[in-house]
Amino acid sequence: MEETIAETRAAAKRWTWRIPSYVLLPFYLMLIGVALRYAVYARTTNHWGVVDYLRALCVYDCNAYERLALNGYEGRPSGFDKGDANNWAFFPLYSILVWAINRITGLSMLIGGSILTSLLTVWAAILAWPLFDGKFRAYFLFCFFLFLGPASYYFSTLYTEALFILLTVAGFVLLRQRDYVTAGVTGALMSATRSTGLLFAAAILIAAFQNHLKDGGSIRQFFRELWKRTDLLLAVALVPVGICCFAVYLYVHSGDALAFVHIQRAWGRAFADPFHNLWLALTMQFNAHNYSTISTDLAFALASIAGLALSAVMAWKGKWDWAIFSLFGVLLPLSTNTYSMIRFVVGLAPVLIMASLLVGRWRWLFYLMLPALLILDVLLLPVWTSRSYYLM
Amino acid sequence: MLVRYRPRAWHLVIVALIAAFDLVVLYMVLNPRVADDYRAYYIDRSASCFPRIASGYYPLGAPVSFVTGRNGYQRDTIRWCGFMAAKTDGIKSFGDYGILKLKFPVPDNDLLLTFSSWVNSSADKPPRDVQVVVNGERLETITYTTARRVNGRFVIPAWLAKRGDGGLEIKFEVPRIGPPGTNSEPVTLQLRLEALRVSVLAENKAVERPSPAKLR
Repeated sequence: MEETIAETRAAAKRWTWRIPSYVLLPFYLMLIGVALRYAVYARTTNHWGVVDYLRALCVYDCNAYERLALNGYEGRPSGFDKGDANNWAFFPLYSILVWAINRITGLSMLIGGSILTSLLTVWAAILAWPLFDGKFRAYFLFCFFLFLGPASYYFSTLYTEALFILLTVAGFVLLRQRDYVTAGVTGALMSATRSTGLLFAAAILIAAFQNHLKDGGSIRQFFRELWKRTDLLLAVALVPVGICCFAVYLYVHSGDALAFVHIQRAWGRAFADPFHNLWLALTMQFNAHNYSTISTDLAFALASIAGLALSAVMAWKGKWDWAIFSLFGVLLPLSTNTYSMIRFVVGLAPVLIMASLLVGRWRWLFYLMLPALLILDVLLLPVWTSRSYYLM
Repeated sequence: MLVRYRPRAWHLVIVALIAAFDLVVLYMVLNPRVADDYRAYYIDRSASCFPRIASGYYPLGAPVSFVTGRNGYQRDTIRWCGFMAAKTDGIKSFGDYGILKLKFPVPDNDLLLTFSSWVNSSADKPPRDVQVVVNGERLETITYTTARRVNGRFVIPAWLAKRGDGGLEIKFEVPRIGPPGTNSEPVTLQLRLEALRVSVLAENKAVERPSPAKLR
């Protein structure tokens, strides 16, 4: 008996010194991804400056987040060709973190922000491991997609996707652990990062309901005792706190608490039927008798359909909290326009995880996907740096 | 195994504080403190453009070029609303109208408005009417039938010029030519202006005066 305990203690001690592969894997893949893209950039442009490379990666919204970290929120809208845009559409949490890194380390917003984004993605990948239920092949694919896939640019420059995925993954892990209040705090941070963070409130309620059923409770019992669940009440109440703080700031700054919604007019966004928008985007180029290319509208529509389909798969697999979060995470931006739908779908952690779990089921598909993702990553680098609308 | 949950008072205290905070936010959402132009463009969506902060400075009689780099380009102080920034081919309208605001001491004489313009149309498309409205009064309708340049040359009666707030507000109202796309904004005819001038009529060659019937 004594010997067994001593052996277990020794094993535990050995374990503490061993860094599990799900910690090292994302970190190594991140380093490989950064090195690969830098090499491709240097080879294709003949520019060897690392800052030049980071600057080339920083396109579209990256510049907005950088300026936000540098100068804060702007005054009267005057940007874009129509003179009606400014940076009120960009949620503050990510830029606050970039600003803090700059203050602490003295690194420029671009360099500090790029490092921060990469490390946030590594952190997100590490935290995501429990959501894969030990399916390492799927987990590897998820990490590979983040760091060496065709959307790796979002996870290596100043975009909010990395932070949002980190918070989403943390939130769903906490829901699995039944720590609803901390999940609510995570939700508050999510809603300070992107408007779709609000949807996490629904995920909390659904996860609690599912956990109740898993624990042997009945549906009636859940609703009968719901009023006593002060932890759920607090968790759900916490989620909008992030977006509300932003609204208060904007009210003081501009006089309009919903300025982040209203300013979307500069981007041609207004609330409408998401399925009508989807149909328009799907048919637009065919109505114009264009059958030879894939227009940006069609590409965005296809990305939306992929997001919706994967949400349906989540529901089918019984992961209703993921499904509802992802479904409305697609429908909410789709209801305003189809622009940037590729990025919005890629920014939904459950969508990426479910896609990895699906593809990881078949060994041959897994091995087929790895080179395909890698080739796309390399080929799309010049497309990204030349500000392609497709990837925007 | 089903675990019995015990409600906690501190949860309720924080929820009450958050609810109070949410009420404050709700008040702010329902009562924006914004200028009329902001409300019209962003909140009500009744305006199709958001005005620039422009001085409107205009030395009467001076030609204004909207083409970057040309003489007179530095007088691009009159582009107020509904025209995009000047480029190598002039300024292009967006939305239902484009407005220029010219501030100058209005004389007691009639004025002459001249400009050169294009629209994104062609001979195989239906004719498109653009209304020229000065100080809120419809001055003239221009019909564009091709993609060729159309030179506008209209007399602005002194009484109409005097009606403005120390100058002229020249509005070009363009028609809608298609249903909204995925950006929810209606597709409108795009008017392109390359140059414009307002001068005292008496200092110009004789031009046809608009009939009173046209001034509605």
